[in-house]
Amino acid sequence: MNTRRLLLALITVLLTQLTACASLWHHNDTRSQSGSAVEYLFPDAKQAPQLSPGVTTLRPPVKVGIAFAPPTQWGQAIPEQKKMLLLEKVRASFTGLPYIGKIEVIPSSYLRAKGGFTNLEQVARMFDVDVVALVSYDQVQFVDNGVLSMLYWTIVGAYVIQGDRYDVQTMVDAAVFDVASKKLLFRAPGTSRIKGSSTLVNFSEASREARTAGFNGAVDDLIPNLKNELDGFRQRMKSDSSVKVENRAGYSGGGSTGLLGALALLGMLALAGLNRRR
Amino acid sequence: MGAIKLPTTSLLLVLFGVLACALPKSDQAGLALHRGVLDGQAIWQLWTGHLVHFGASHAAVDLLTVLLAGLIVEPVLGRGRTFALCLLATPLISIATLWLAPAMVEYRGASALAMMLGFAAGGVLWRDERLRLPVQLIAGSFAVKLAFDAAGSRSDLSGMPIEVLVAWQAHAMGALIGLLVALAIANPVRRATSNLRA
Repeated sequence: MNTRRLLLALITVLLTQLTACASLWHHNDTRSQSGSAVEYLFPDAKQAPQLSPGVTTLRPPVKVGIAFAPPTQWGQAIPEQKKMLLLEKVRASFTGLPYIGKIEVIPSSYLRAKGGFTNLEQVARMFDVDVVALVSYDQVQFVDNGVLSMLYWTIVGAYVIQGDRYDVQTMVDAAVFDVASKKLLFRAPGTSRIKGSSTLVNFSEASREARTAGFNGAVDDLIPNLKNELDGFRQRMKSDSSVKVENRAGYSGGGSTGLLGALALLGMLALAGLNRRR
Repeated sequence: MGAIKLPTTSLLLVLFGVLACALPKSDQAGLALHRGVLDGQAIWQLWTGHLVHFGASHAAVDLLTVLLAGLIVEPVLGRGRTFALCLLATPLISIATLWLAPAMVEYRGASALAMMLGFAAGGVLWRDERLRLPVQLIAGSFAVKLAFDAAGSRSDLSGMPIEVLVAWQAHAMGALIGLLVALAIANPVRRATSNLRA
């Protein structure tokens, strides 16, 4: 009887150990974090938003706010400190442009999930900005166990064998809205993909660093795209009658006769030439 | 009849304008007219603000107009007087522009000088009675453009970046000085007196 009980106890202990060993492996899992400007501005929208056609008035130097869109689901947010660092990087790249007056980094705590344009208008008033660049993000991390992860059985292997693989895919998208007219002025994307492997004990730290590097890479990719889109928008504005530029204190003025002025003078010169011949 | 005389002063303005375009952006910014001149800072900007531009296309349009106007005015007004006119009128236009546009912090462009020389050129052509109608039409179109600029209308023909607004105040000042010069050129009494003295 005692022998039977001892055997049962032994089996139980063995099973417990096996379970513990099995937990050494990461399941092939996916981890994601996202925040969407569409979810924030058009919550519960069943159909495409209807924006009333109107004239967007921009007054250079334009005051710009930049913020990350609130997370789509609770617990999917990027840490605030990381967000601020990323937005500071964007701000530094656009500071000094003559047509941009100031760039305010807006902390996420001011943006309410599904707050819509009502919330955006409140925030714009609070930070005294005309235009807000909302940065949507979507990051997915895939985790796989490599063949070498079998060596985790040896315990020592968990410290030295890089048996876990991760693949972090990140997309950020900056959509620039004129707050008063609720018009999307332009948008630009940035993407990055980071692959790597790690030992079992370092996996958590390594994958966290990869996620951070993923955001950094995506923002680095975003900045030149955003600059290109901004240049394109400035060109489009010249022919777009729905966008009007007005002056504000601190604007730059230029004297230009325009091509018509030059043509008029050319006409006058022709007249003067005719006069001489007579 | 005679060969076209080279408008030396206008060519000099064009040369300076082209050279300014080749300068680094920071140097160009240092030459642009800023409100600091009203406090006695960087006085040279009263003149140099009219020689720097916001870009090559902006400079090309303005400097071409200066050259075309100079071709008409300089042979009549003379090299020295045209030079003196530009030298004296430029700071006057700068100060008046800053005063009339208190929200403007920076000004660039030779268009005010072009306007001045253009209106003076109108005075030259006005002496021929047969050319008065086309001159009136051209002056009228300038007035309409000035009104459109003052109303904040924009066109893609200015050659300036979209965020830079047309400083119509500078144009108006240039036109006013040019009009005074045109009156002096076209006034037959004064011309007759000058001829008698000669």
